Amino acid sequence: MKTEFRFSEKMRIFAIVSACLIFIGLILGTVFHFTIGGFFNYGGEYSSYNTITVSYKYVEFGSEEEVDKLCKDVFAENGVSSYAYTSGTTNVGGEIEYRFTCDTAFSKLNGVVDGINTKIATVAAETSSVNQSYAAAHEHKALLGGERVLMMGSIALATVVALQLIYCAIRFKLSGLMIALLADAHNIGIIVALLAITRVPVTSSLLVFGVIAVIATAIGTTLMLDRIRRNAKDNSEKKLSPSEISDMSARQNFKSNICFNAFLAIIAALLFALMSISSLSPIAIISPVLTALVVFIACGYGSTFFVPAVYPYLTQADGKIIKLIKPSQKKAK
Amino acid sequence: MGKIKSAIITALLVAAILVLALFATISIPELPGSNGVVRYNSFISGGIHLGSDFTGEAYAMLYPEGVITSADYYLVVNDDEAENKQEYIDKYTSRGGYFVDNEKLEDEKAFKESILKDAEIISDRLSQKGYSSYSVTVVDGYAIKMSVPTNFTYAAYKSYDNVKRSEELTKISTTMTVVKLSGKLGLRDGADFKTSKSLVSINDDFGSFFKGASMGGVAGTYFFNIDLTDEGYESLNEILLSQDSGNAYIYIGETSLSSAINFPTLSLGSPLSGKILQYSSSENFAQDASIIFSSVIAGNVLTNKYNNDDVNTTTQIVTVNSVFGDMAAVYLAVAVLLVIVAAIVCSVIKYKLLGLVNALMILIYALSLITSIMLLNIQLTIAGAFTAILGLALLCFTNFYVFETVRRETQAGRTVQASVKLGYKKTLAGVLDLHILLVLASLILSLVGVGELAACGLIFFIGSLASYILYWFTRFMWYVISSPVKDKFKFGGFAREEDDDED
Repeated sequence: MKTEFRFSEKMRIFAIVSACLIFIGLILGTVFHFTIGGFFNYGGEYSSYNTITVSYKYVEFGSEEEVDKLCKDVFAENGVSSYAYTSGTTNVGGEIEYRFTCDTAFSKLNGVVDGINTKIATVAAETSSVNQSYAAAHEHKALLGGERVLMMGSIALATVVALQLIYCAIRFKLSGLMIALLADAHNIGIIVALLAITRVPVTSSLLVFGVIAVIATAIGTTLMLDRIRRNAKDNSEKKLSPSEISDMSARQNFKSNICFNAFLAIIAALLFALMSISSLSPIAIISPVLTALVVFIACGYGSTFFVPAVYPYLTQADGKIIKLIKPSQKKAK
Repeated sequence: MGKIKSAIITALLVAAILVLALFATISIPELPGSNGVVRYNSFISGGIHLGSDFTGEAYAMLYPEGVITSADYYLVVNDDEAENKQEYIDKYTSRGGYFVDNEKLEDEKAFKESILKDAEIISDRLSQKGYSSYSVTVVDGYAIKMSVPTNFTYAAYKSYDNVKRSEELTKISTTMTVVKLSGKLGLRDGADFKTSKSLVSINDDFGSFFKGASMGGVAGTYFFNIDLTDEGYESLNEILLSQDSGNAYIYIGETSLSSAINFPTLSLGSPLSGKILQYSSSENFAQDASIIFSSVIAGNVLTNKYNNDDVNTTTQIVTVNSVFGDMAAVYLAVAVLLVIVAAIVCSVIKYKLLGLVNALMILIYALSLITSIMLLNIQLTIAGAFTAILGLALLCFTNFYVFETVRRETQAGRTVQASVKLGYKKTLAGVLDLHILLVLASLILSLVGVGELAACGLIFFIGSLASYILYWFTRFMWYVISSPVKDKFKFGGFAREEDDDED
C-alpha cells in the first residue's frame, strides 16, 4: 500500500533540526568571533592576510616560472605553504604575491624571505652587479571597506523582504504574511548558521546570494500558498483539515520545489567542480560557489520540508487556512 | 494555421536564433578579406565585461612620503658605488617590509593612524565607483594597497583586443590617480604649483565655495556638475573678474587637476554663467571628478601625500590574474552551456515536441540576456551568472508549471486546445503576480544596491521580464508549431484520456 508522507506530523522533527542548526551556528559563530576574530570567515575583500611579495626584474629572471620555482623550493625547505598567489607584470619585470593566513608566524615568513633573497642574489649575481629583484614579507590589514556597499545592499535586501511580505499579506492575508516571515527568517537563519559552521569564506557576493535566497523563498512560498488555496477550494466539500490540505499541497509541490532548488544547487556544484580544475588556489574556489550551494540547500530544505510542516500549526487554530479562499470563490463553488 | 505559414514562421525564428547565436558565441581570429589583421570577437568574448572572479584585478601601492620599499632601499644600500648609500642608511629604519624615514618615526603612532585614516577615505572614494568588488588594505601599517577589478572582456584579458585592454587600464589609472589625491581644494593662476600663486585668500577655504558635486548622463553623453553656494558663487565671480585674462586652475593639495586628469580650467576675466558649473566628459572622467570633488568638499581630505617623493614618483598599476585561474571564464561558459543543454534535454524528454518549443524559449532567453548584458555594460561575476541562471530556472519553471496544468486538463478529458486555453487562464494570476513581484524586487536591487548587487539586480530584472514575455511567446509558438500536427496529444507528450465507451 502506498503511504503518503505527512509533513505536518513531522513538524517537531523539522523544528528541532532547524532550531538546533541555527543554535549551533550562532554559538559557534560567537565563539569564533571572540577566538579567531570573526563570526563568519571573512574572505576576499574583507580578509586580512600576510604575504611574501617578490618583485623581480627581467634582466635577472626571464620568466615568472623561474621565480616561482625558486620561491616554492624555499617554502618547502621552511615548511610553509601559501593558500593563494597572484602575479602581475610591469614594463621591467613582475611581482608575485604569495598569500598566507594571519596565523602564519611572521618570524617564520621573515626566515623564508631571507632564504628567497639569498637565492635571488645568487641568480642575480650572474647577470647584474646590483641585485634588483627582492622579496619582502608584509602584513595586510583589510578595512571593512565599502561600508556604503554594505549599507545600500542591506537596505536593498530589507526592501525586497518588505516587498515580499506586503505581497504575501495582500494576496494571502495574515496567514500568508506569517508564513512568508517565518520562511524568510528560517532560511536566512539556516544560511547564517551554515556559513558560520562551515567557515565558507564570506565575500561581498553574500549580499547577492542573500537576495537570491529571499527570491527563491518568495517563489517557493507563493507557489505553496497558491496550491493550498486551490486545494482548499477544490476540496471544500471533503471538509479536509488544514493539516491535510497543507500536506496534500506540500506533496504536490514536493517534486517541483526539490527540482527548482536542486537545479540551482547542482549548477553551484557543477561550477565548483569546474572552477576547481582551473583555480590557482584551493581556498578561493570555495567562496562564492560554496556560498551559493549553502543558499540553495537552505532554501530547498526550508521551502520543501520546514515551511509545509509548520504552516498548519500557524493557521489551524482559527481555521484561517480556509480563509485563503475568497468569499466570492466559495459562493461560486 | 496552415502548414506553410507554420513552417515559414518557425524557419524564420530558428534562422534568427542561429544567426544571433553565431554572432554571440563564435569569434573569428582572422576576418576574411582583412589580410589577417582584423579579429572578430563574439559578444561573449569581446562584449561582456567580466568581474575580478574571471579577469583578475589591477592594484596599485601607495607609499606615503618617507616610506620606501625594501627593494628600493637595498638597491642603493647594496650598491657600493652609490653616492647616497650612507644617506639611506642614516635616514631610514626598517619597519615590516618597508623602510621609513626617521623623521616620520618621531611620532610613529600618529603617522600610522594618519595612514589608516587615509585608507578609510580612499576606501570610501572607491566605494562610489560601483565596482563589483574592490579592496583597500593597509600593508605593514605604512603603505596602502588598493585593488579593483580590471573590468576586461575575455578578449581584452587574453590580449586579443589590446585596444579595449588599454582603455580599461587607462580608466583604472585615472581613477587611482584621482582617489589618492591629498589636500584641500585650491584655485591658482598656473598649472605648476611652485610657480603659480593662489587666487583665493589665505583666510578663505575654497572648498566651502561649493555645495557638492554630482554626475549624470543622457544618451551616452556624460557630464558632471559642481554646485556653488550663494556666497561661493559671488566670491568666485569676484576672483575671476579681478583678473583681466588667463586661466584659473583648480587644485587638490599641490596637484593641478588640469595636469593630473585634464580637468577644465576657469577663464579669468569672464563671469560664471550660473551657480552650477557643468562639464561634459566621458563617463569615467565624470564619475572620478564628481567622487573627488564630493569627497574633498565634504571634508574628507587625505593627510599624507602618496607616491610623491624622489623614490616613489609614479603610481604603478599592476594587473594580476584571477585567483580562479586563466580558464575560469571558459569553464563558466562550459557550465552555462551544460545547464542550457540539460534544460533542453529534460524538457524534450518530458514534453516531446512541446519540449522543443521550450528549448527555443531557452535559447531566446540566453541570447537576449547575453545581448542585454553586453549593451548595458553590466559587469558579469559568478554571482551575476547565478542570477542569470536563476532567471532561466524561472522561465523553465513557469513553462513547466503551465505544461503540467495543461496536462491535468487533458487528463480531465478536454481537448488540447481547450486545455491550453484553460491552463493559461488558471496559471495567469500566479505567474503574473510572481513576475511582478520579481520584477519589482530586481528593480529595487538595481536602483538601491551598489556594485555587484546592482549588476545582479539588473540581470534579474532583464531575466524575469524575459521570462514573462517568453511565457506568452511559448503559447504563440506552441500554437504555430503544433498547428500542422494531427495528434496534438502526442505533440506535448500528453496521454490521451481513455474513452470508457470503448471498453
